[in-house]
Amino acid sequence: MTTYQGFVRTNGRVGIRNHVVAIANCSCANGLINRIATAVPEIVPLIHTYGCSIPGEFERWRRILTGVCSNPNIYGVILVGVGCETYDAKEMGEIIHNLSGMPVFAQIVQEDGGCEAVIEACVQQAKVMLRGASECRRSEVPVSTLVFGTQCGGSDALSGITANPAIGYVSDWVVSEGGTVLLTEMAEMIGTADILANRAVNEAVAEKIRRAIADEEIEVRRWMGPEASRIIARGNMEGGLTTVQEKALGCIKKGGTTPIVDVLEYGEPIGERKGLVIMRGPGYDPVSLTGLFATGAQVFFFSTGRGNPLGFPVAPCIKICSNSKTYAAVGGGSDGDMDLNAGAVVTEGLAPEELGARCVRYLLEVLNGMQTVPERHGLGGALCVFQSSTPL
Amino acid sequence: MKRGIIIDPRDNVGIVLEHVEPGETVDFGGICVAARQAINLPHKMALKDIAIGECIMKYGSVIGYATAPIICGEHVHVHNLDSEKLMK
Repeated sequence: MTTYQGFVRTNGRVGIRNHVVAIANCSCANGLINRIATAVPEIVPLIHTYGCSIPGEFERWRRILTGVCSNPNIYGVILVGVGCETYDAKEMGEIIHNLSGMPVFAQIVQEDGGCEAVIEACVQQAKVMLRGASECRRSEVPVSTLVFGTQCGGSDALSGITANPAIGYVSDWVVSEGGTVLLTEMAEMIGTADILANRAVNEAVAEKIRRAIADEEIEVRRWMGPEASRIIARGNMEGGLTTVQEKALGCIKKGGTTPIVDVLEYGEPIGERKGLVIMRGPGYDPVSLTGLFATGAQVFFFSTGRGNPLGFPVAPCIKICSNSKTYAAVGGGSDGDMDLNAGAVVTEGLAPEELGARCVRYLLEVLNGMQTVPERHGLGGALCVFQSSTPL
Repeated sequence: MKRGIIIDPRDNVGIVLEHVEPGETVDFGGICVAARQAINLPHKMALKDIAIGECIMKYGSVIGYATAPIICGEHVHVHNLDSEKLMK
């Protein structure tokens, strides 16, 4: 049994980071979030564009807000509502606290004395939470407490040969340790339904896999028409990928080789599931990472062929490059954009198993607190949430 | 001799691992094919002649079909490969 040093939360879940965050219950309060983060720069502002006036999305937003804020990487939450939005911020705060057991401070502009009073109260509470967070100590926990998120972005034709199989090696290792692995990006499973359904633990899960991929094909056809097979970005094509099926066959390598135990909705809580799980969601990276984090992922392994710089604001995102040319162009290590170079399999004759073992060692260091490149360089970005209808 | 890789023995395209100029030979692990055009890494090269409508195989799976006749050593990409008919 392999262990690492994590932050054990009161609900038993384990964080690998210990952030205090400020987030708007509805995006009309983003200005206050920025003011609070300016006054207390040690907290992480989670900026987003959701929370009201999109009737088709109310339930999803509730799931994502509560899922994100109860992720064990977060020690405490400052939640700011405006008062007139769909959900009451204080009720949402209570739901989050009941899920996580961690400190939540919710304020409502229209009830708590206006913007300046709310900002002042939130700044004071943020300072209290930061003191609480600084008293947290890491302790030894098994890798079975891990929910490991996989992602590929800016793929090229080597992603499916070098970097994604390396992530697959890590996925198999996490599952062998009793942990959980998330595979997502439904658009990048088109053409692989038979392969994935054959790996389902039972026929019910196989059917869920076929249904999820078929739904995605219909959606892609609806938007793309005769161009459906080309739902890959310009950079993917320059990188040698031609069809969505080709991209997908490389994409699914990230999930490794173990049986698929379930299919979850976007941001649906992981619960007690162990093993390889598919989360329904889009291939668009920032949206996908938000869903994975809301589901429960504490860490991401992210492959890229073209050099996508994306990280996540409150979870480490390990960047692995598929080819040595991009790795040389954007750099690696302390002053570059990439954590690891899977291109060494091609250019330096590195054995794929040795690369996989190197990735496992790197993951363990990150779990124990070593910062990834996007964390070191502050490349976390915004909270981007999947949306299938428009604001009214 | 330039380097290439065949992912699965059932594949009819290989991946070039170095930029190749027309006429240069690529060694796909023992199977050697001369390039008919310049091909950038990591793009696909036909390992045999492929008729129009025939399946293109990579990873041992179908990634699409030929939309034009393809000659051994040709670059295989958006100009001669599509998968639109495979989709719902």
